[in-house]
Amino acid sequence: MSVDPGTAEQSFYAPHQKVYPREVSGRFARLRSLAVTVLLGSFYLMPWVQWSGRQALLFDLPARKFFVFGLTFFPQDFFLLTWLLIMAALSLFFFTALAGRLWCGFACPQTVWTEAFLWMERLTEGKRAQRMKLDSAPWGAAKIFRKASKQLLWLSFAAFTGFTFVGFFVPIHDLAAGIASATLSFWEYFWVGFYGLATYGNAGFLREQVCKYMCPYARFQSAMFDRNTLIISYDTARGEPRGARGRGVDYKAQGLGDCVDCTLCVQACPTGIDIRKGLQYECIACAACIDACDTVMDKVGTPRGLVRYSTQAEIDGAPLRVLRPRIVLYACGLLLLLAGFIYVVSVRSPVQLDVLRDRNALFRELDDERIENVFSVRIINKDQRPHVFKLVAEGLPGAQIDSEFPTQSVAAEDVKNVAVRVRAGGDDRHGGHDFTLRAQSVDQPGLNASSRARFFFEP
Amino acid sequence: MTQAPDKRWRSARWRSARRRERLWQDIGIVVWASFLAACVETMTFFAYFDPAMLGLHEIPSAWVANRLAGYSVGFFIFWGFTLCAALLTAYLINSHPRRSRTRADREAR
Repeated sequence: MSVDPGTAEQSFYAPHQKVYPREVSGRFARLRSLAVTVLLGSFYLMPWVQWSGRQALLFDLPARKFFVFGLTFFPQDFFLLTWLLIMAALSLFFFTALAGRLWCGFACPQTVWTEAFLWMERLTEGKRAQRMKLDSAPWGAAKIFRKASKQLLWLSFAAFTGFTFVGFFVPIHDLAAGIASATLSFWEYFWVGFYGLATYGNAGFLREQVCKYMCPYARFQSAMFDRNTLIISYDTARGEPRGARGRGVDYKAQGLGDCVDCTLCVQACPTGIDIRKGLQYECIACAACIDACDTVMDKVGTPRGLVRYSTQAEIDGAPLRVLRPRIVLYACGLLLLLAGFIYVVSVRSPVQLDVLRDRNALFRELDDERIENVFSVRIINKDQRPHVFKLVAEGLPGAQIDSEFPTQSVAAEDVKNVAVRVRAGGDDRHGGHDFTLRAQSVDQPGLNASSRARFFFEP
Repeated sequence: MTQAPDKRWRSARWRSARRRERLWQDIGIVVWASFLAACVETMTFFAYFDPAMLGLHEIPSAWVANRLAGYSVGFFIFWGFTLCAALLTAYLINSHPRRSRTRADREAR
């Protein structure tokens, strides 16, 4: 190829060579379409699902309550979220050790949204060759029309994505009504726009660069890989030496391998690498090259699998070992954490009590020579019906509790803050004494919550 | 496209383009890493502190008048701090005398 030196230099200038992934069809393309449909479908529909008269999945930040189907979580349950995140990390380790970057190719939001944006790009700008031609063509009516319709599709989809995202944190019906009447608060508009623009930028423009430059998982995945991890690989022994061949010619006699060097695997790659050069960190294991190669192998009449899911061990001729100590360890850890999580959530007390000392005075001496300490008590009722509680002090002989009301009624899934004065005789006691403050349900015996607190007498 | 690799080294314009590209990548990494840290920080902080309870006075400050505003402003304050930390880290690593010298050596070669 002879190129004018000026343009050749120009091409090296491009801060980044745009990748035009070629459309492929095949087993893995179908699998990814399925994954994209299921994942995006559940993302966009989930906020609209109702559960006993309420949004089924709502992380209601303004109200500081998380509704997960029938369950209600309060900020006090934060450790459960940490637990879930640890489980998510361990699952990532497990699946990576077992099947490589399964997450990247089929489930990562970056891949899933890029796939959706690519679909809109194909709808408006056509197939790979058409897109490349369009980009190099001078601006004209047709180009403006195609580019504008793509942007319109992208931006509306991104805006709807931002709206749906915020709908997980603010009740989506209120959000929709607020948008319809233009009465949303600044920050609600802001976060719809922020998430929408992030989706637009990441899935529309940055694409594979997010995986290459921004994703930490891509960098440390090799720590979880071993020789029996599923990877996408090119069968060098079978394919090389590559080269074009004439129809009906015995290419083996010419000393050629099975690779016809059609470069379809390179054109299909969304990160723009050549899988025939071996496993590279850019590879997100989307298997588009497998589909592309299989199509060609079918056409030229050689067996499929020149590019295939394989393991380093298999390539080297060793038997496949799925159950390795690493896999078993990850799986056991994951199962233990899962069982623990289910147990903790199922035995979770529907009531919780937080006790804080009044910060202004340590203690106060009353006229009758008793000592009074003031506490601010928070009663959290996670149950779906209201309860009435009576507060009692235990482990502090002669202690009395004085509050505005003798009992405290707390609405369903609500938090009540109460100022509580605890009084005890202070004749011969000094210093701090630990005691237990208990909220005892009046309407449902057996339902109670307690918290340790410290009572101060005169020093 | 068929230019030999050694010729690419001679092109000052190519090198400056590459430098620009790397600078943008570095900025992207700094912004992204600090964003992730700020997200975790915001989540942990507001799990324990209700923005409606913050502020030194009895009446909550205007910026925490509603919780969403409190979370949002809190997030950007955290992002500001994590951004500073990430920038400083990137700057110190990048301007480390030993590293700079090896890079200069490499480019001189």
